[in-house]
Amino acid sequence: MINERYSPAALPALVKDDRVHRDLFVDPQVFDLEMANIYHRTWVYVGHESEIRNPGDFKTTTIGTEPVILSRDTDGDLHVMVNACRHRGVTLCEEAGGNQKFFVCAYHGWVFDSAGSLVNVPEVEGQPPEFSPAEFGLTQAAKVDSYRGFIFASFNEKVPPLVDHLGEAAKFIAMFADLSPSGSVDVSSGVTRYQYEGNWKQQVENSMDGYHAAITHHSFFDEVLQARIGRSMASIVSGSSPAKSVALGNGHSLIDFRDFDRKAILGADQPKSEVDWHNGVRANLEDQDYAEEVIRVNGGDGFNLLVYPNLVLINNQIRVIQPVANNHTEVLAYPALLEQVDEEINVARVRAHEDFYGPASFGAPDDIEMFKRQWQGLSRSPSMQWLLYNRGLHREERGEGERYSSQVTDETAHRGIWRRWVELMTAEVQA
Amino acid sequence: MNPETRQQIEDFLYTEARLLDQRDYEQWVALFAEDGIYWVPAGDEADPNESVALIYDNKKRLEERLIRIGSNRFWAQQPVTQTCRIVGNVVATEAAGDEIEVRSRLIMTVLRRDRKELLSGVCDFRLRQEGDGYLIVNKTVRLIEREQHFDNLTFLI
Repeated sequence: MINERYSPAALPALVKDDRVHRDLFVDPQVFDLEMANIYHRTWVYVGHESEIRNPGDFKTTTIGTEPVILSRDTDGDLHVMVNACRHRGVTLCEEAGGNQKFFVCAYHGWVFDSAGSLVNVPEVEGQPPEFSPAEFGLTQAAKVDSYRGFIFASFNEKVPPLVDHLGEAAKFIAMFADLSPSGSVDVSSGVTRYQYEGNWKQQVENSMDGYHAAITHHSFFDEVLQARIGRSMASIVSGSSPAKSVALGNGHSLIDFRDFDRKAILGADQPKSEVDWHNGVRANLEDQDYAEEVIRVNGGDGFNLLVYPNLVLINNQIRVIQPVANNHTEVLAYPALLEQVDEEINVARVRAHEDFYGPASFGAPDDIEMFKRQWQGLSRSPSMQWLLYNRGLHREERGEGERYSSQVTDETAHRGIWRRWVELMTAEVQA
Repeated sequence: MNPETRQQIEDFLYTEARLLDQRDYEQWVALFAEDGIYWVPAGDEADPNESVALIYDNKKRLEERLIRIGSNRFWAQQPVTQTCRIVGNVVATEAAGDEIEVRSRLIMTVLRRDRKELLSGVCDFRLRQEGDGYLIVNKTVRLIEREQHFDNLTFLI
């Protein structure tokens, strides 16, 4: 039976303006409710179009804990199908990706096509006469849609249209894609994966945390960069930085570095490959003011975008957060390559990924260490009931709609994330 | 390989592994040539420019690692990871001029806090003769676990 504390009426008491109860991280029952009310209710990122360009291409991923196949059928249409045979639930597809017209169950040989239809049942005369294969196609997400190459799916028939869900986040997804002179990034250079003992919300929050960077990443921002570029970059995440913590609404949020003048620090000299790239961006976009806005993002110090609940665009990286259990999280990190640029631009993007996001990099391992220590402290300390999310409450500014903005070391983004969490966890039907 | 060269190469590989086990990273980085590359692929790729790797370091980046190792805020190595490596099945695969290519197998136990893991793989070294010894021009480690999740390889393979 569900703990009465987590009922729609009682739950908001565990999420206050300035604090959140620890049980929302550590109680497995909350995790199960999140899978139903968040991951099966709203839109979840499942993959990028460049990963499944051709008819028959597929990749396997998850929506919450549910394994799914993202497939482009032979007509070119996208499907997100539960990766379990309709007969007895056996996993249909063991591969991470590939191209095939049919998915054949290895147990009893049921065959499904790339659109999920059941097209063959061995010894079919053993099925009762009323058996209708049309009723036993793969279970599919109710909605699949993509925005600028980013594919999302939802199990909720009544979910609002994807563009409404993305809202303010759409503009930043577009900017991330428009950094590529073709207008689309390419996700074909592989992936690095990590997992940690801890809750998925830790990675969500960390991705939007400007406050930790100068401390957790001190050895990189202060020490390595001192040697590499002759100065510390800690000021970009200091209390006097013009960068911002922004809640965009619907849980989407931003660390916005665009007001930080990177060129003033690093110099404005550009290699030819970068000049050509930026000219390619200008040539691709009609609105030249927008083109300059995109170029300022420059794949470096532009913004970190969270598309709630499971997608983060951060520098060159597409980060996908996959909850496994309340105390187990997997994260996939893909470098996003650009199209129609000199090869050296993309090589630099791959190397930048290894520099900060790989398992032996100068960034991610220190974050993951904090996730572990946070879990060790949080999960074993019931006497410490509340986690604080109060930074900047006194100085954040509310913009239009659900937009809030404050200084980069504030927790404005986090409060937006928790407002959305409460909304989804207490909603009756839609969203 | 003549027995004398074999002995030299094996001694070199054992030393290389021992320096990592002892976390003597300064001496370990010094084994790399100025144009040396240290590569731990994340898949089966042949071209590190087309695919993201678990690790892809040139000498400059190897030296930057020493800054982090010397830092008192290198959290991912507090506590340190303890490792114990066995290097074996050493074969020379190619020799040309002053360079030799050597393949070996690696099995290592990895211990951090209370978690113990086993990593295994094939190491390909390209070594350049330098005076009495060798410098590493390329070290590539293809772990059998390379497509798994990793949370921390900062101890280096």
